[in-house]
Amino acid sequence: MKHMATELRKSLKIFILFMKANFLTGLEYRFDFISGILPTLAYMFAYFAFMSVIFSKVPAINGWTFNQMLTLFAIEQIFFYGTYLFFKPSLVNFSDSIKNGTLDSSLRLPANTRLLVSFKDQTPDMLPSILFAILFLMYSVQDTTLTFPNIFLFVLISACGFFILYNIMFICAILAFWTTESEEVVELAGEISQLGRFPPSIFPPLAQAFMFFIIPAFLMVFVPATVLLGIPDLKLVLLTIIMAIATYLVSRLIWHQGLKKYSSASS
Amino acid sequence: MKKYLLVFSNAWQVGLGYRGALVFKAITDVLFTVALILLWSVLYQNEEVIGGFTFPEIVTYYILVRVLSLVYTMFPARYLTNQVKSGRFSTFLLLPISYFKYLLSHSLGLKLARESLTFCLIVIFILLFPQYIVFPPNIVYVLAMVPFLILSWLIYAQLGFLIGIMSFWVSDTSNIRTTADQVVGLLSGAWIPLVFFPPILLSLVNLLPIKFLYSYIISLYQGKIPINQLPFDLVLCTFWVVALYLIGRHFFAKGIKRYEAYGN
Repeated sequence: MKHMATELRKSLKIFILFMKANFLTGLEYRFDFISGILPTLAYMFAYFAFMSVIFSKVPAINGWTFNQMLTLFAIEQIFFYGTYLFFKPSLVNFSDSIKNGTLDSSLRLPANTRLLVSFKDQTPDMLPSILFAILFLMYSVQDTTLTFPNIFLFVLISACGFFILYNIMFICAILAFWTTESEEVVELAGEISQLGRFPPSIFPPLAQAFMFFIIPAFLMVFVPATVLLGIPDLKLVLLTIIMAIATYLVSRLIWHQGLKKYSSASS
Repeated sequence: MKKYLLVFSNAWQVGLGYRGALVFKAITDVLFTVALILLWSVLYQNEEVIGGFTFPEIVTYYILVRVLSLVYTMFPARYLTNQVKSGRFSTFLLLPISYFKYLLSHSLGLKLARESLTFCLIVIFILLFPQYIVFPPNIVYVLAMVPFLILSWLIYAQLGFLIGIMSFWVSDTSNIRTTADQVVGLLSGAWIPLVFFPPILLSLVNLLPIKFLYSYIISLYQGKIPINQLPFDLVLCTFWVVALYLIGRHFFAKGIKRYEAYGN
């Protein structure tokens, strides 16, 4: 137990160091850092306009109001930019480390290799976008009575949803052990949370099952949103937690198999 | 021409190289389009016509948006920026080719390859649900679509090229590119048909070349543009293509003068 706590502390320290180093590097290019907010603003405005048109015709979509739809969208956007902020660049670059053998240097270090390959490169430019998405989320829940348990559970379930997304992207990245190429799949996997911005009830049952179990976009976005809005389905909450653990175990298994297969390509 | 066909062919092969990505992209693209259609289907439960569109017309609209997205690309912006940033652009200065034509061939080959499976899925969708697809009222509109499609593709690619050229002056254009992609998408009807826009915004869009992108091509397909207006629009569209080309050429030449590369 003590060993585990020490390992966790060490991992957290490394993670914070990566964040700090990447943040300072990002600040070198201040124009890029600030202008990162522009695409976010444009995209959010476009979606807002789109939803405004839809809701000028109907008061609700399968029971989901305008603001509730914006809540789904805001959570999805936080996840989307969150992947860039924390791990997407590292996972996209992972296949390069297989091809040119630089993974060796990570394997030799006295730290958790998975942690190193997942969080080494980050995009701090996404921080303003995330902050804006959080503001958007706050705007969308203005009519909702928020309670402390709701917010606490929302943060917890969102973390599970985000962890599912990370595990899926990680699995896609480490496919490079077998295929040597995985950047494109990782890029696309980062976008699956976008499908969660729609209420499941608009989809036919088969598509719903697909997006709960195969590409679990609904677990990532929809379930946290229902928790925040005070309309949670406990079965789905439980499913999200189980899926977070299951995807982690599967990714761990594939990671170890991949490491066994890995033979350095460096000179 | 032969060398650009070779560039196209090489890019096509590269694009097809990532099969897992192709499948993944096709599935997410189709699911996203289906989600949009299902969202609209909720609206049509109470009304038969919204903004002049019946439900099959709106389904056709979003299918066509998807089809047009298969060819419209901001890739020239991304590619040129990467080349300038990495210094690999220097290689092109020595080659006996037109960089713009190279970019067009490369972008088209890559884009078509990467979207090929999505295209197949769209065709399957059309075959499975023909009742939701509205076909053009007559052959004239289908024929008229060909030049407009080519010109609108050129407009989109040239916008990408212009953004790419900015990389001679700024360190990274990815934020500008993504913003432009979103704004152009919204104002040209990729999100919602332009008829839903407020009149003042519509008048603004009509002054810009992006008017000839998504919404115009789809209106043409659906026979919503009077035939006698087509020659004038064709001239205007060609004017925009030529104007953007000349602007691009001017700034590209200036950019090259500014370009610096060192190292091996």
